[in-house]
Amino acid sequence: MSNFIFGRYLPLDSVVHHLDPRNKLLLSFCYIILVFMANNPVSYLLIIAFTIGAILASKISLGFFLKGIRPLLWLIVFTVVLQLLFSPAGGHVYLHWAFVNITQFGLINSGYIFIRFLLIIMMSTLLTLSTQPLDIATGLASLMKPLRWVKVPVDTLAMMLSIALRFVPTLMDEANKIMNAQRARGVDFGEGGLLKQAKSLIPLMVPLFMSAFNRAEDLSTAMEARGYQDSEHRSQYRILTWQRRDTITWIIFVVVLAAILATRRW
Amino acid sequence: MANIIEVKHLTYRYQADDPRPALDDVSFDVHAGEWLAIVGHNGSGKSTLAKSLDGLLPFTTGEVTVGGIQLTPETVWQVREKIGMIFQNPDNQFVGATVADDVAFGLENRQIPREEMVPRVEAAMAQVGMADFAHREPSSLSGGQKQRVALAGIVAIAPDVLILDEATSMLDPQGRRDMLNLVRQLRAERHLTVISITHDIDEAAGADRVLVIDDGRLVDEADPATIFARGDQLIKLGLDLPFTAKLKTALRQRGIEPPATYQTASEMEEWLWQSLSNT
Repeated sequence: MSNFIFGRYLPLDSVVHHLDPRNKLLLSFCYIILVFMANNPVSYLLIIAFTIGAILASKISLGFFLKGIRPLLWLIVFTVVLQLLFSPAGGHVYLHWAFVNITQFGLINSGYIFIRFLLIIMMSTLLTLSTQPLDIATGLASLMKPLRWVKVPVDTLAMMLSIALRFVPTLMDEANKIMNAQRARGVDFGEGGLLKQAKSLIPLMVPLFMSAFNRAEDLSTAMEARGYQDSEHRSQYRILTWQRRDTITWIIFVVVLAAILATRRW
Repeated sequence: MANIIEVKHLTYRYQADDPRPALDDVSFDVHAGEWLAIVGHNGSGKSTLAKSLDGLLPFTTGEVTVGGIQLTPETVWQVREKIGMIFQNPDNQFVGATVADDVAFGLENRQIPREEMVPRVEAAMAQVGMADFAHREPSSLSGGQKQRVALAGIVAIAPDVLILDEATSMLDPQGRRDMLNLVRQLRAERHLTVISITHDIDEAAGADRVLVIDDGRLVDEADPATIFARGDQLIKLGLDLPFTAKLKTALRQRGIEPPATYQTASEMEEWLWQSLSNT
C-alpha cells in the first residue's frame, strides 16, 4: 500500500500547491480533452512542454510520477502492443503475417497512445500529489453546485464526501486493529487458496461493519446535538478563493489550446 | 438559585412493551451555574437520561423544561441551542475534517456568517489550547486533544448548559485531569451549568451535588460529602469509592478509627498529620 502513489498527497510549497482546487480539477478535466485533440508531432510536443512545465512548477521530483505510472504499466503495454499488431492497413507495411499487421500508421498510432497514457497519468498524479483530499472534496462540491438546478442534493453529497474522507484513516486504523486482534486469535490472513482467503476475511469484515454502524449512530447523535438539521441551511466555514495565479494558469492553458488547435491536422 | 432544568416524572422505554423502563419516574432540578454529577453503574440509565434532556431520545411520559422552554418535538431545536453535549467516544463525534472545521460545525448549523465565524472559531480554539492544531486532522490527535476540540465546539456556540456524557471515560488520567480543569475554568468564566454523567468517582467528588441513579430510578441526591460517607451503600449500587474512603476502610481494618464524614485528599492529609502529632 505504501508504494501506491496515486491518490496520495505530498505537502510541498509551490505555485501548483497553492492553486484553487476547483481550478485544478477543471484544468485536469480540460487537459484530458486537450490530450485527445492533439494528433501530430507538433501538437504533441506542445502538450508535452505544457505538462513538463506544470510538473516543474510543482517542485515534485519526477520519481513520484514514474511510481504513479508503474501500477498501470501492464495496461499501457497491453494497449500499445494491441494497437501495434492489429492496426488497419495504411502507409508502409513492415510486416504482414496471418492477421498480424505492423504498418507505419499502426506504429505512429501506438506511439501516440503511449504518450497519451503517460501524459494523462502524469497530470492526474500531479493533481492528487499537489492537492489535499479534503480540498479535492471541497472543490468537487463547489463544482457540483450547478447540479442543484436539476435537483441533485449537492450539499448532502458534499457533507457525505467530507465525512467519508474524514473517517478513512479512522477506519483503516480500526481494520488494522481488528486484523491484529484476529491474528492473535489464530486467523491467517492472505494465506491458502482463494476460497480459504475469502473465508478468512469474514472475521475482519463483520466486526468492521458492526463498528461502522456504531460509529454512524454515535456520529448522527453528536451531529444532531450540535444543531445539525439539514445540509441545505448551513453557512460555510471553509471557502475557496480564486486568485490571480488561477487566472494566469487559464491564460497559459488557453494559449496552449489555441496553438494545438492551430497545428492540429483536421 | 433559579432552576435551569426541571425534570418531572420522566419515564423512558426503549421498546413500548418493555416491562422495565430505562428511566422510571425520574424527577430532579438543576440550579443555574451548579456542577451536577450523575453517577450510577453501567446500564443504570445515565446516558439515556442525558440524551432525554437534549431531546435526542423521545421520552414516553414526563416533562422536561430547559431554561423556561418545555421540551416538545416543536421546541427541540430551541432547547438544543441551550445545551452543549460532549459524548464518550472522541473519534465518533468529530465531524469536521480538521480541528477548525470541527469547531465551526455548530456555527455552520446556526447559519452564522463566515466573517463572524472565523474569530469565534479562533477564540474557541485558543481557549482550549488547540490554536496551534487548527489545521490538523483528527487522525493525528490524541483522545484528550479530540475531546478538547469537542469542548471548543461547545465554547464557540456558548450554550448555558454543558452535559458531559462520560466524556472522560476513554481518556488517560492526564487527559482526564486536563479536560476537567478546562471545564472548571470555563464554568468559572462563563457561568456554565455543568451536568457530568460519569462513573469516575473522583470526577463526581468535585461536583456541587451528586445524583445517584440505579436501574433507572433516582435513589439518592446530596452533596458529594454526604454521598461518599455512605461507603457500603455505594458499593452495593455497584459504584466505586473515592480514594480517601478506601483509605479509611483500610485504616479501620487495622484498628484505626478515622472520622465518619467524607474528606477530600487534603482534609484527609490534615487529619493524618494531626492524629500522628497527637500521639
